[in-house]
Amino acid sequence: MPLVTRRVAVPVLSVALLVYLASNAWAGEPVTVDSLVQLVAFALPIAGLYAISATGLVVVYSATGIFNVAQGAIGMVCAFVYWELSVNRGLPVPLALILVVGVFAPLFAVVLNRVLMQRLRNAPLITQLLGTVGVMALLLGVAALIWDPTASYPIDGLGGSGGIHISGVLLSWHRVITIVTAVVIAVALRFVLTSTRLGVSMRAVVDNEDLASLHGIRPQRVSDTAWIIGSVCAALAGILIAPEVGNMSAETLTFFVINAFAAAVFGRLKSLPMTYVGAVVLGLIVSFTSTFLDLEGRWTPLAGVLPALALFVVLLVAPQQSIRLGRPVRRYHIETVPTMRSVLTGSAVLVILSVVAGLTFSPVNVTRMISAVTVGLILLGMVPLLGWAGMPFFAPYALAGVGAWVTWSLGGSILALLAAAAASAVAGVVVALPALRLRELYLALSSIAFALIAVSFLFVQPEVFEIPRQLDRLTIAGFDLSSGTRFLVYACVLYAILAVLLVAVRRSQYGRRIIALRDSEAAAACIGISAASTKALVFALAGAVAGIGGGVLAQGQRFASSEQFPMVAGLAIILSLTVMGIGTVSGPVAAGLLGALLTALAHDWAPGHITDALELFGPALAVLALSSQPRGQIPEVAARAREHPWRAVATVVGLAVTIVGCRLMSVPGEIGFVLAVTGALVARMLYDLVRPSPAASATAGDATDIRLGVSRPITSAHVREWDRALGVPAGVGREVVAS
Amino acid sequence: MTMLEIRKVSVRFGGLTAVDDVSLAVPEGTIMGIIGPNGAGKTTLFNVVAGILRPRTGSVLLGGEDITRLPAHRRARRGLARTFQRLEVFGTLSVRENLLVAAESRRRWDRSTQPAFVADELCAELGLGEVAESLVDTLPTGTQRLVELGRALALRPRLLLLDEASSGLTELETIQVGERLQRLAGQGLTVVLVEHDMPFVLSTCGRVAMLDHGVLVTEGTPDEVRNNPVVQEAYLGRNREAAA
Repeated sequence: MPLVTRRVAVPVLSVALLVYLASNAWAGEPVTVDSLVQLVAFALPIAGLYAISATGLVVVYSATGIFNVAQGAIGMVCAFVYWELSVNRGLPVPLALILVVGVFAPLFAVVLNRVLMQRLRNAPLITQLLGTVGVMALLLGVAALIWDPTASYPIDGLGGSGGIHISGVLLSWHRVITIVTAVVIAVALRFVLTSTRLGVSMRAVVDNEDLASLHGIRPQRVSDTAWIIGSVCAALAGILIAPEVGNMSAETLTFFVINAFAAAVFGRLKSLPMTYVGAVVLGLIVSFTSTFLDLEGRWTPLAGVLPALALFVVLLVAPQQSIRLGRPVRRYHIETVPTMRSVLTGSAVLVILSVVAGLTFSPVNVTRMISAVTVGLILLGMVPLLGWAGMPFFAPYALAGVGAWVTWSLGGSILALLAAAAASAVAGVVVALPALRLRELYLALSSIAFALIAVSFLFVQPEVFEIPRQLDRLTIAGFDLSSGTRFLVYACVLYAILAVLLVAVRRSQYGRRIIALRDSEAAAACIGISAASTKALVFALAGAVAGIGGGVLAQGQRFASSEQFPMVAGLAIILSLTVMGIGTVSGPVAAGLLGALLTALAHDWAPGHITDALELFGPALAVLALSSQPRGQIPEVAARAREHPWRAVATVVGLAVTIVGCRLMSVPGEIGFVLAVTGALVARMLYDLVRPSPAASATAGDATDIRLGVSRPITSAHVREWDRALGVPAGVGREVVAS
Repeated sequence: MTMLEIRKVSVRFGGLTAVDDVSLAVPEGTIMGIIGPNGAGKTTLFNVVAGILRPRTGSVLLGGEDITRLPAHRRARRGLARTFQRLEVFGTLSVRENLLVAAESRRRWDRSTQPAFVADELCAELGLGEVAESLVDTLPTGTQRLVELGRALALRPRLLLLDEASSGLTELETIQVGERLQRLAGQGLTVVLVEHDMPFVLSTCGRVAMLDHGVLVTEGTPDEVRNNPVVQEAYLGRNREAAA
């Protein structure tokens, strides 16, 4: 779609939708001066909140290149700390404010920056975004641990009761304070960023960090400052929103900021004035809907997704040039192309393991395995999209939901599943249409908006999941799949087939084309590869596989509802996929199993409070794993197995011996599972204790390895080999290498 | 027959006119060198021809067909290939795959070619056989340049645009590239190259054009251009002094 058409068509369509809504849902409120004042009086505080949140996003992004999805969660924690101090401990409000905004928020920012964000500085965008997603999950977990989510947290607005009366409308002091705060932040930042050394430093660091540090700027101090500003904005926004939502809820406070994304994107993530304009427009839209419209029936949930829709519209209309934001050089991690033999072996192992697990595990754990493999299937669809094409798309459950809906409404048979794959492929392409021209970060944001719109608006439509209905029992060719064991094997067979198909695609010319497009869009175009159709192909592939995953979810649970596909859970499973390895077909099922293992650990063996702690440490571990091994666990482990094949063999032997031992002593399946993993680890450690030294094991063939000395160290064995080959006395080569 | 015709093309970036009303015709089977100081608009002109940039005014014709409004990938399918000044390789594909993906792409509009055969043949021809299975990211710049050239040739193009193909190559490799280009030109390939290496341009090209500040200063045979006083003043003369 050419830019001009888009810039005319999209706003026209948006306005048409608003006019249609207005004419259908007009509440009958007359348009008078009073009602217009009311509109503005309601809009400005909302705009202020959006503006404060969005400012934090923009400052952090423009100074560090990291888009902080956890902005809302930071604000949430600050709001809860403020509640704790002012309400629970009875501290005076000003003191509590100073402690939270002036001490807690800045300290938190510095710790966060030093511990995590600094390390993610040069990571690929997907890793950066998921790092902040992990922080968000962690903070939600911490909040749930400290502040019981079932209790209520009433909080008063600032400035007490009363306020200003403007043509019959009461603007409470709290809202006045909100507006004033937003304005003060705008003026203060304007001054800091344009007229101080700090502001110049920040711009220099964004431009070229190495050059800036050569000129005496300390990048770490600059990024610390940016995070402090972002965190203080988050704290202010959190504290100001809290009284507006009545009873504080961690999730409401956290996700409010997603609404502010639209404002930040309106300012193209760099212009604060435009961000404020965006915030005011958003505030006006929200205020207009609540003042003049009376949304009914299918349109009721629309009010909640208006900001997400606005984000979508802004992204569509944004000019093309603004896309190349962020750091230009983002290296992808090199993955080896899986061989057909390895994926066939892996698939066979998966199916055999599913039979073993299905026969030995207790019913509750079989159910957990089923959900693990289902999550794996949904994530498998994300592998071509995130892993191969490098497109950050964070709405797996939205695509899966389409598949679940189609499977469910067609009766849940295998044919229904195929129809679901087709429908989700189409849905994938439709989602891709606006995304085709969006790069990296904007695509990620639009996918988050899509996930929100899908779950909060599309899936709750009367035609979709409104009436819960049970599916019939699933039979395939007269084979009843209603038992857990059989369904588990069925799901694993499906997974195996899809994994093999995906590897076949990756090894085909289509796979090469996808990687070529990821590596260089310009060069791909210049050899005749159409970016649009290749991306559409990837989205169709992702949609089809994720749709099958959704269909299996519906078949397995024998019903489908919109609650099965929450936006945040989608982010969480993508996070665990990234931890496992985003470009491998084994990563998805490993990610699913990790989740199931954590659930099993939490519910079966851990006392209550450790359950919460596990939910907490899951994301924390994920984030740490991500920052230390950004290309994922499976590729790392596989690489190490290639380097030390005997260690891998020892591990597998340890695993096998323990499994056989457990069977002989009839240890229950679950304990046997844990023992087997322990056995494998012990065998590996034993091998490490007795293994030969790496120098002696280095082979002469390595000497011709082109990577030697670059990604692998030159050892004395190499030097000896070269000495021999060159016919020089031993030790000469060593001096050459040393010099 | 005129393979490439550039008609009154102008490109502006904000207030800067990068290419100013340039017209140029390249006959089939010719090697045309475009020279000029840094910032003369050479690469911009390339981007206009390849379809990466849209010109503000003017048109581009390939083999007589107006391609001004075609996107880059459609131009490639009409037989236009290019390399880039700043390397654009598919770094996480192997050398052979880099050539293969181009050959496979060509097969979509020309069923007569065998992609695997084309890729292997080019690998051998360019001396890339030993590194065929290495990932391109792990190779030195000069080798990556050859991969880029091979990828462009794998398209079996009618028109080849080379943006500083000799930078990063050794002297011997540069000579080999020059000879290969002349051989290909003999078979009917049209080549336009942007180059800083003057001996290479003057020995390889049949025609040379000089750009300065976006304006076409002169165009002619290497001898004509070499003896043009404006060229000597603005480019060659300064280079000789710098060299001396």
